[in-house]
Amino acid sequence: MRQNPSFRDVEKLSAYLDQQLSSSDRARLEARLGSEPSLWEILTDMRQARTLMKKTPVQRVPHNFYLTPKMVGIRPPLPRSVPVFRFASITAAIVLFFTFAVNFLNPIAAAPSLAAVPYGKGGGCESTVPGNCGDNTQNFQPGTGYGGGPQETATSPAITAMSIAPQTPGTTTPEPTPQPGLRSMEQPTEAASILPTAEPVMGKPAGEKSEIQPLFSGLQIALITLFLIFGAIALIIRRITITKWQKRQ
Amino acid sequence: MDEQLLIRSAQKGDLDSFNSLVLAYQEIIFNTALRILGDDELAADATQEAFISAFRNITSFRGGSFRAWLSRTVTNACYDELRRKKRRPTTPLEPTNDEDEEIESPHWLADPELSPEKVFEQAELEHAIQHCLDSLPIDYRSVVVLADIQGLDYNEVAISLRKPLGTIKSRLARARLRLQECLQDFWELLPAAFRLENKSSP
Repeated sequence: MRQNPSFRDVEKLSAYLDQQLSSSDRARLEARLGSEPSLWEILTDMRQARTLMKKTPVQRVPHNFYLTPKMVGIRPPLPRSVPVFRFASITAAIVLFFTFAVNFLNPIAAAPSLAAVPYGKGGGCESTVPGNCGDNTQNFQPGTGYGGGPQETATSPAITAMSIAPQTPGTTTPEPTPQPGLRSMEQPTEAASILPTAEPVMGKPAGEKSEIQPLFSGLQIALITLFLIFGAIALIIRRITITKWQKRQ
Repeated sequence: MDEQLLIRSAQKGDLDSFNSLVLAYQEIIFNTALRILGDDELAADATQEAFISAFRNITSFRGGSFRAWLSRTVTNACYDELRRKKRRPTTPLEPTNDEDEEIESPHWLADPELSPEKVFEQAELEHAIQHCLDSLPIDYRSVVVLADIQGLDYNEVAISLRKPLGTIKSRLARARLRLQECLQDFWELLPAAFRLENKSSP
């Protein structure tokens, strides 16, 4: 029958089993053990449990727990040239990217500046071609001019005359006699002087071949070459080093 | 080879030296993990994790008991495994024989040098101990595994678990009392060699 031993006593008994008590504590406890059967009972219980735990069978390991370089993330020491080549390759790639970015953004940046070119005096749209004035085209009336003065009405017949002239074979083309309708051919009027100005907006004439832009500029080709060469060198050196290192391991 | 020499080489990054230490300690570490976790596969995982962690942090070892230092890494790995197990509980697949019946002790873990009787006795004892260990709170279990099963002294247990000596003493006393109560239920089932002695006065 236990006589309510305190937990402090239980702790001392446990330490006594493991010989962790000081000599004085040990002597005191041994004296009590002789007179208190409940303490002795607890000691016996704990000793039995402890003895049994020490008999726990030892299991054999299912496999060896060797570590491999891969497990612990050990990497072969790379030559100093590898990061240099890698850096050069990455730098070439970044510069290349910026050249592409500049090429891509240039036409977009140029467009608003073209649109902002003034067309001439008189305010509003002075173009003689219908459709170049946005919503105002509905006001265009052939023969009456648009946005300028009455003299601009000659433009339309002049164009007609130019287109008709080659269709009259056999007729020598004498110096054109000044006619009221062809006046604009010889004496450029205000409207005629405006035409070349308006040309960039209208685009190039249909018959004219546009200049073909090369896909890559010289700089870009050089950068691509550098990127590929430096990258390939870095990869090859790294691969060779790793292979040699793995063979040594 | 001298252990201190191997440790110093391992601290310089020599994996071969560390693997020599692995060979020397893998059984202790695996059995510690096995008794804390109660599962072979989890114990193997925790042991491997513990050795990997030990190699990565071996520079932090400043002398003293290398066994206690390794025990700390394995108990940490066991706590991690238990936390993982808690988050994703799984049903263990018990090994079965040809007739599709469960085998309590996998035969591939049994020592072939033991007689069938001994194997049976050990299996019974192991089952009883593991059952009682599993019934203990993890903090008590770690203490009793390190102190009573692995035979570490109080200071080494305190280093392993990073707890004050008083806490270790207290936990060990409580754990022993609980274990004794639990093992009483297995008394009749245990082989005679392992039965408790008579409780007689000194």
